[in-house]
Amino acid sequence: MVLRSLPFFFREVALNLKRNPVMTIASASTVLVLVIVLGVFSIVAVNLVKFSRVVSSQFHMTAFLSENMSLGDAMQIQKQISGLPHVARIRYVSSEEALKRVGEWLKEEINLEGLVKNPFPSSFDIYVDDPTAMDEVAIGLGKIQGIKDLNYARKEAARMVPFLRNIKYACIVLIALLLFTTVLIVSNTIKLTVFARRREIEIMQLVGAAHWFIRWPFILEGVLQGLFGSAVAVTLLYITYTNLLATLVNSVPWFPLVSNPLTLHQILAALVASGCIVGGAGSFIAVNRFLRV
Amino acid sequence: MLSVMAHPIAPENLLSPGESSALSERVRTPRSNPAGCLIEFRSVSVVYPNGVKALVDVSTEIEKGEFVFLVGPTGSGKSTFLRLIYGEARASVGDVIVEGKSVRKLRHHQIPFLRRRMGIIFQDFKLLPNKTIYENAAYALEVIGAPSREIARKVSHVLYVVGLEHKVRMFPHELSGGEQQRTSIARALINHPPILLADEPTGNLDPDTAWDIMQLLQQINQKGTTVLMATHNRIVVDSMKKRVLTLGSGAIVGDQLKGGYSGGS
Repeated sequence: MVLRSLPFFFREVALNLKRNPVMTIASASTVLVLVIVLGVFSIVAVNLVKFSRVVSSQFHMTAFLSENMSLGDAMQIQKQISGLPHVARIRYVSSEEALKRVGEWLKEEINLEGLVKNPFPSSFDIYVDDPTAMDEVAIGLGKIQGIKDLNYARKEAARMVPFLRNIKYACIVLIALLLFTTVLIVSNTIKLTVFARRREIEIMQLVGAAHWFIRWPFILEGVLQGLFGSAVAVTLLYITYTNLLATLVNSVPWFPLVSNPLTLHQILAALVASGCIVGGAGSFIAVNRFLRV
Repeated sequence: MLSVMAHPIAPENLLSPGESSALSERVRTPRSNPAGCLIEFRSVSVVYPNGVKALVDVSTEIEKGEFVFLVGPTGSGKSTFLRLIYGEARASVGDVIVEGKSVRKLRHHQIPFLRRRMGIIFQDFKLLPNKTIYENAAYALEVIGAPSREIARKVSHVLYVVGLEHKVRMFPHELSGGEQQRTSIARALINHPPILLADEPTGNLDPDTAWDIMQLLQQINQKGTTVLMATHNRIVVDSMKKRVLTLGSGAIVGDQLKGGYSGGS
């Protein structure tokens, strides 16, 4: 039955869009504006989240080993460290490598070539999965024989990490609120366009149209209006963001902007999808109100 | 009148004064053949949520092929009577039986199927404003999923029958009231329903146009469709000499064969 009526539905939708251009434009432009707002915010949010992830991942602990420890003993200690909770990744830094690293840093000021003895002990760079758990890890490390000293940015982590985490939560809450508002506004606009045609719905019922038969063209129309609006919005967002990216990468190189096309495409696809869903669902709800179901 | 000329059946064939169908001559006695009964009201009362009693203990039967006028003052329950038949209103007490089926027991999703067995026309025509005359008539076939070739054939035919074959591409607002009512009749008839319900179909029309519409309805009735028409039009009722059901304050106060408008009161 639905299949047999599909050509009729498509004709209906095309005719209605053509014969009610004002309503079509009203719905589509509402979607357009809201998707742009939602899109701008989503892009800002993913950038903030990426920024906070990059910053938190730079917090790590350095465990210095006793002098002249053999590689075998060091490997033994590495095994013990990886057994500790919250330890995500360990990197062994030999005393030679540490010397080289410092040499790189200070090559403008001091020449370390002349050193008789390498003063740097070998160490482990320990990356944790949660920077706030550093103290806990430190207690565990303190119990391991062979670790002479421990160095980590305790204060900075304690201050930065909750801040960054709050940014993330704030983004999630704001996006949820924005999405909720978008759904409300779009479904209200669509309700108005359906309200303008409530008499048609009544007539369709009097002629013996089944509910699904009345509903489908409206839903398809809603989806199309959502699609039009969000497609235009996403195109504008894409062009603007890629242009902005090109400029910002040069002017603010320290900020890790999201330039991964996959992430960007996912966001834009999600925006188009939500435009369609909100359009279709808005129509569905509005039509049901006038169908008295 | 041009629209009368376009009509396929000459008016004099429709309303000759001595005309009376076999049905209306039959003596009304308690029915021995309930199969002939198309619409039956069994002690129907309707009380609206606001407490208004629209109908009180109404019992009557309408047989296949009858032409029945439903008359009575405003608020006497005429519209409710019709609404019960097409499932827009529900009996609070009693039941309405249409073609042997209880309307009261119909589930919500079954109502469309009930309505496909009848054509309904209204005082305000209830045409879809954004659809052409052709599309309005075709809509009743689209809802039952009829093939497009059949739709094209039936729509051309029914628009010819009501004399609108030359206005198929026009929109309702471009037509006169009489033409709009003809369109709604075309839509009502396109499925060949056994029942035609008309709620004040001539209420918005000038007397000449009203007669056009009455002739069309009579022609439809002569082809076997049962017609039930609520009206205030005293002249139409008095001159047609059909069965007249008179409602007063929600009750049937008169039921006359070949009756007149004031016959029941």
